[in-house]
Amino acid sequence: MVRMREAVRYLTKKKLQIFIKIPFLLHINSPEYPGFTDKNEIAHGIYNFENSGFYKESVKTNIFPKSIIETNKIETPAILGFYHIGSLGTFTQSKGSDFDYWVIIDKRKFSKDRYDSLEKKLDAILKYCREEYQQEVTFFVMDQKEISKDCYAPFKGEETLTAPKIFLKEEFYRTYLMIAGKIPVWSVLPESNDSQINTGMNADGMAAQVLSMYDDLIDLGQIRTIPVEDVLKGLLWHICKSVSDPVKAVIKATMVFSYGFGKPTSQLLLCEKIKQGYSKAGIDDYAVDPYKAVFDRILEFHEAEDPKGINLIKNAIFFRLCGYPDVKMPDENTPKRFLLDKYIRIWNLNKNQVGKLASFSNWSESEKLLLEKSFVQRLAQMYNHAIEKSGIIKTLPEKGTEKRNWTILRNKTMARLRKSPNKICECSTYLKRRKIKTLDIIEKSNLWELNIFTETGQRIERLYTHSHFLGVWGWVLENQLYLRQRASINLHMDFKLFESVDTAIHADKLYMAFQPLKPLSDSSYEQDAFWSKMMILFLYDKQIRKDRLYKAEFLISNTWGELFLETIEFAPQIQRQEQCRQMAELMGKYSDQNLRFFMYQFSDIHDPKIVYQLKKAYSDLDNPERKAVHINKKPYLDRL
Amino acid sequence: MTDRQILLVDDDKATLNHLEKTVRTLGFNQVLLAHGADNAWVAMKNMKIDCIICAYEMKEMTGLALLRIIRREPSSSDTPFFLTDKAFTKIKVIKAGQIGVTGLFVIPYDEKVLSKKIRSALDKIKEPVIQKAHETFEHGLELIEKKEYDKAIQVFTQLVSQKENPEYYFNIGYIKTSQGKHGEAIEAFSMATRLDRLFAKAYEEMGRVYKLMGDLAKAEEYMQLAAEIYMDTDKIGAAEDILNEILESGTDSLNVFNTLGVLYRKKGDTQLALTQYKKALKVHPDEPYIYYNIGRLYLDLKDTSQAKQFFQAALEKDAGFEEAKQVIKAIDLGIV
Repeated sequence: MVRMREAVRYLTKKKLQIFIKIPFLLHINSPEYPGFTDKNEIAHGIYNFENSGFYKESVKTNIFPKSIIETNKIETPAILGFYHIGSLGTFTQSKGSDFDYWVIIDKRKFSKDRYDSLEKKLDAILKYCREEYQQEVTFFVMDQKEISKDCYAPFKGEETLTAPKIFLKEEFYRTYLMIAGKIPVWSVLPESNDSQINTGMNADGMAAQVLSMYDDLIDLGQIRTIPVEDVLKGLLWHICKSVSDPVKAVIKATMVFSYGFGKPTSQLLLCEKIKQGYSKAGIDDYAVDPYKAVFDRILEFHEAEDPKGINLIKNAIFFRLCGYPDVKMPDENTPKRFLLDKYIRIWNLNKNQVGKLASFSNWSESEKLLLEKSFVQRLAQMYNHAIEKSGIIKTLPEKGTEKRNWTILRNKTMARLRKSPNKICECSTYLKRRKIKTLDIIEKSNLWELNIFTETGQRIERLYTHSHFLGVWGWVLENQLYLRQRASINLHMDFKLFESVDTAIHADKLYMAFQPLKPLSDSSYEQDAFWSKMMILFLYDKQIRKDRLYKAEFLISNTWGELFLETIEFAPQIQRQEQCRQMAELMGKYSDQNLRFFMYQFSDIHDPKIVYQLKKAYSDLDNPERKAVHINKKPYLDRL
Repeated sequence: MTDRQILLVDDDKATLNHLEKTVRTLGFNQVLLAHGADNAWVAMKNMKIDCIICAYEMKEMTGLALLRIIRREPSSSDTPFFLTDKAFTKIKVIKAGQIGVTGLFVIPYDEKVLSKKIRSALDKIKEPVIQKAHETFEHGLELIEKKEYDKAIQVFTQLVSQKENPEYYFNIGYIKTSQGKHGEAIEAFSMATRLDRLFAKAYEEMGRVYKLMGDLAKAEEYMQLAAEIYMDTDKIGAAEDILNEILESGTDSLNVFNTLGVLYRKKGDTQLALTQYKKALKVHPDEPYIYYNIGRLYLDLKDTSQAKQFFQAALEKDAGFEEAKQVIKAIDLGIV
């Protein structure tokens, strides 16, 4: 109740309206409301919805007419339980918090058609929330029986979840908000270290007994211990997630790490600790906040095990409470602000230190990057420590879905942590979240610089510089700074940009050639990375001999979405044939069966011969067996 | 080929305008006009000219004089040069021939002759390898006609006994085609393409040989392959010519319309690209690749909702079409 009240208190009027509406839309099926399905099989309805606080609230506030519910009474509701999971109602709730829901069904009662109808309904509601309320919503549909056994398989087919399942369940119990439907039996059982558990009756037995007595309860499974494999998996998972939020990742990973390598006392599951608080919490008692429990746990862990590393954790907690990366002190007189003030006092942070942290938005890009690097480095240290201490890597599964999941996580981590001098580097999370309106790449005396103009009117000069054009271009691609539907990108230089014909092209074409750069699904990480695309930029003399090639730049991407830069500066006296041979050799270095080339020119006049000359040189190099070209009977596919 | 620059020279404005109109109706869009030989010379110095059609009789400087100057310049010594006149005398023909005229046009023009000769001349300058093989071969034949058999054998031996390279086999293919030995010609062209995978001209000639043999399906296959190699090596003009040549032979091929669609997208002519794709869909309304390519075209135009519709249509035709799935996902994520 405390959590729900906090959630309601900090939602804006509009967001609160949709928060109340969502369970309603799931419960009813009316052509007048979003999510209507005209199939015969019922794919709506939440168990016992009329007795939920949401129903009462929405009738009271007239969001929906009562008659709608009354005419939509159903015998066999599709949904057994509907819960919110995540930051709502916690200290970490922010304006941008997504609504993530668990939707529990009984798969046995679903035909393929009924399930499809439910998915369509959920998709329609999701679209409605996004378009009408600018609210991102995710529904995780799960089968009660499978979830009780920690299986997160889709409706048909194998489970392919790479996330550490045990921690998903722990997070669910730690953070869930009861919206409507059956109550998880876990909540009403005594906590796992309660004396009753040790007096003969195990949790399963007790759950079975309680479930048999009450129809309104549902078994979503128990958590007994956390195996070391799951600790390792959890660390890998958070290293991967650190791309989008290194602060959140380091906090969650430290919690995971404490389960595996902390003292036995710090191995009590936090969800159990939260449950302990159920009976003790007063109406305004924020001590039961699930995220505060995490903060306290990781602080305790560091004090005991790694006091030297505690400052970094304190910084992470500070930033998390201030809404990283858009760091801002929480409003006065809010529980979040009280908690932050309390930490500031306990940690003895002086005004300057607080000021410095609170002014994060004004830090230079290199300062922001340095901070994030230290978080990622901490993540890597924890992972290496876990590997070293557990020796677990040797006992990992050798086949099946679990092997696939491990492979994906390990490969993603490898890509995340890989350092290479010619790898295009990342920018800060802060910068990635900016909405950029205009990007200008300017040539200035042998240096290329990037200036940006944000949607909020902020102009940043010399945001990034590089001695090669593709160095800047690769950085823009790597960090996905150019969103072509809402931004423009312009080149300012003495050259024209050419592709296949003698009409100059716009820089947007360069962007499209490498899209999508980042893998759109985890399956790309099932195998080792191989080279997928190579952009070659020919740079010609500006003044004296406009047909002379003086430099070639190469941007190479692989199937894991990493980008690498290579360049060749040609000696003045060498001929075209030799230039092509040198370039072909470099291309050969990255040669992979499916590597595709995209060639462009920076010149005053289009050179119609260079592409053939280079491809011929590459073909001669690449083709010792000299096979003839295969005749393709399918139409030419103009692939992205 | 239609993108080649043709220079028309005359000191009579009306005749010049009439010639321009005629040349444009033949499909040559890049036409420059020069009033008199002086202006023509200036144009030659400042621009890349691929072909010249010049009046024989002009007051200040004759077309013959201009031809002489142009032939002396190394950069333009091979440029096709045609002379026009209402009535060519024998002496005019001999003089022009001695200086190196490419051809003569009699006024009023026979459009068919005009078109054929210009195209043939442009084709020759485009492919020096053919020009060289052709000239050597012709020279060999001349020697045979003159009954100078030893010299002829020497020429032919020289033609085919170069070190083993793609051009060597191409030349053999060329000779065998002229002799009507089509099977051997194809073998030779195949060998040339095995040595040089990007030897589009050899595939092109192979297609022509199949056409002579009456195997139109194979002819189209090889011409299409040549067009795709031209596309991949950014020889868009050559690809366009060959695709149009296939269309002229009366084919109704999905692949040709589709490749032309891709070609026009690359050239930035979206309307023309769309027209070609629509023609392709008329031939085969269920081909998922065409729907994908149209979606790709709309992506260039930043019209993601239209693009998505076509990618989805591609997916409806082939539920396992991975590239279509990926790009739909990319659209949904706002990446493209």
